[in-house]
Amino acid sequence: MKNTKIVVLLVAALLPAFAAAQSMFRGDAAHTGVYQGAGPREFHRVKWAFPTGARVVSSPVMKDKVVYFGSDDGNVYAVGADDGRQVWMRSTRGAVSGTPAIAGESLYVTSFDGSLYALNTRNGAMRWKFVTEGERRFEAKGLHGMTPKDQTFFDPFDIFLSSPVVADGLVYFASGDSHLYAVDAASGELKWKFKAGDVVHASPAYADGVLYFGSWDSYFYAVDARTGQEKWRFHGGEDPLIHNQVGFQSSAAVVDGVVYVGCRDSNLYALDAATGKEKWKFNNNGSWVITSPAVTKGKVIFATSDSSLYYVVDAQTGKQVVKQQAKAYMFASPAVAGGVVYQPVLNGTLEARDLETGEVLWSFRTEASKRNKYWALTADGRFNIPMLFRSQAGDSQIPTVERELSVGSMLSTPLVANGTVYVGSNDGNLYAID
Amino acid sequence: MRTLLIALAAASAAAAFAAPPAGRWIGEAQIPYNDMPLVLDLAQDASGAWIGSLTSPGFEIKGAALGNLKVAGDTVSFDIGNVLGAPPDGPATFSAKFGKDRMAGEMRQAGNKAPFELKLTGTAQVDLPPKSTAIGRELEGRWVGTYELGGYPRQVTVDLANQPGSTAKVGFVVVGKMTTNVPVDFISEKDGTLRFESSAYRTVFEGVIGPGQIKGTLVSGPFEVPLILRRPTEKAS
Repeated sequence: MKNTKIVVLLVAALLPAFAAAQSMFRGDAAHTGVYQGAGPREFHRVKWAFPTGARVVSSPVMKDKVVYFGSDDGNVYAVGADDGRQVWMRSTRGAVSGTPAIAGESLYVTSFDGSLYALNTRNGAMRWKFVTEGERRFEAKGLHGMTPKDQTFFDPFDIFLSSPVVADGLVYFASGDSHLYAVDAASGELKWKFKAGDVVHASPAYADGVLYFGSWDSYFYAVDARTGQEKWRFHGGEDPLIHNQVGFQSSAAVVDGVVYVGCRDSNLYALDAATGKEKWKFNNNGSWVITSPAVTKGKVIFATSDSSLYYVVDAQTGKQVVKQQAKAYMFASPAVAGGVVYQPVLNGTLEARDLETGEVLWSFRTEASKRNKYWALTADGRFNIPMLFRSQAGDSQIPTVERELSVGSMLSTPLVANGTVYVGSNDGNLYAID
Repeated sequence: MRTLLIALAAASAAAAFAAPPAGRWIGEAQIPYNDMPLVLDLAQDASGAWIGSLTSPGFEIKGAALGNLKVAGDTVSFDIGNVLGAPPDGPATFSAKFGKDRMAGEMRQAGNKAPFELKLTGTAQVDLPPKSTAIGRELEGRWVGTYELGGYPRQVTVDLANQPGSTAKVGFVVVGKMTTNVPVDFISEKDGTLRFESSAYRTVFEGVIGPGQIKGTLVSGPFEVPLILRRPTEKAS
């Protein structure tokens, strides 16, 4: 009896970390981006499209044949995975631009209203709400060269919210208020908080009792998940002039004692998980690495922004294995399932690539992309730079980004489950493709 | 300059109705969800050759010189150089049929196509493109400098030379993590200031010529950085 109790307790303790293969950002707590089973190697159809009131930046997660995700219309949605019918909808007071995490019958998700919500997965009823010190986007004087240079501008590319990770009965998430929080999963009680130097919108990865995340303060941190004490920090690049090449927007993946993370300083880093020492870096000539890398079979998969390149590199050495030119910038992260990599692109397409060769197997293009509002795209699907960057005026990047993302851009990371790919689009839809 | 414009305007006024399609034409190109306003000025110069310019409020296009301008019968066609993209996406081209006071045709840019319609509203006010000048012999030769953008240093090499026709030419290379040959389509030396521009890259250098250096700023799109050009044998900054 005593032994049985211990076993039951152990299983219960392990559940939040391991019963969640498709129920949190990047598939698991270590954010490997690898999904069990196979997704479609050929495009057959759009199984269904679920419309929301605004863009879907949030990445879908799944449990018991229900898909959960957020929308920038401020709502959290539960939708039937098979039929695309709404199960429930729950409002927040801000854009839900992060990805939910599910543990047991609770769903945890952040909102631009500055709160972490715990909802009942069955009906969306609120279990508790944890209020942070306030959400905000990264901002800096003269950001990206905008003028007047002494004016503070918010970063229109700071799109994603931190997605919670659940382990050992705690919910961990970060905030624009610069903190990493640990909150009791059952009660919402604050256990500890860790202050970084600036906005944290990356999602913490959890491995072996340690949380890994980066901040816009140019540092990447490892923090003890039990105590909130810093174990080490790694310094990425700085850009004091225009703050363009600084900050960790990418979320890390942790595999076999190595942390892989992209950075706005244009590097993909591999760091020793125990010490934070740099093992290697892969430079991308000024092009941001916002995507969160996927790691599988000794390979690291990531993509870049301005140079629009898709890469597979060796996990041990960082040497290039595959390089493919895509048509447009990539901010959303690759998802791997059954030898296929699903990579969303900002031109409003989802590309399926062969894991070994990087060749495009198929692509799905949204209707918004085909409509090509503002001529944001060239006829062959690349960004049409002269029509995007129309103005020399200092703050013109803000409408420029709006034009860029008007083509059904895909910022959401795909979920692969039961032979189907689920992905959100800036056109306001969540798509199920098989 | 003003006189020239008045003369052109007067000539155009006479020509507007006598020699279509001379005049100022105003309308829009129907780009999806975002009509593009067009102000097209067409006139004939003293030799009878067609000249023109295009302005598009909101698209940061003012007085773009028309290239490959052809008028034949009731059709007109032209491009606007690198203003909306260098090859392979540019130049943006326009072709249309015109009547007494209406013009309708097609705009093409980066493989996209959109119809446009214009109405004749008055006399032409053609913006004449600035003409490059020659430069002082002491400026000829190689200049180098460096600047930092986005946390990375860039090496600049500028080769200046006069050429037949009383204008100068510029070789402008920027080396960061990549090497970029920036095509320059305008250069002038005036009142102790050197200025050169690349419309394709929306880049302008303007600097004051001093002893052994040209001290100025480089503006590229929204970015503006200080840049001092010096002879390569001296330390560049």
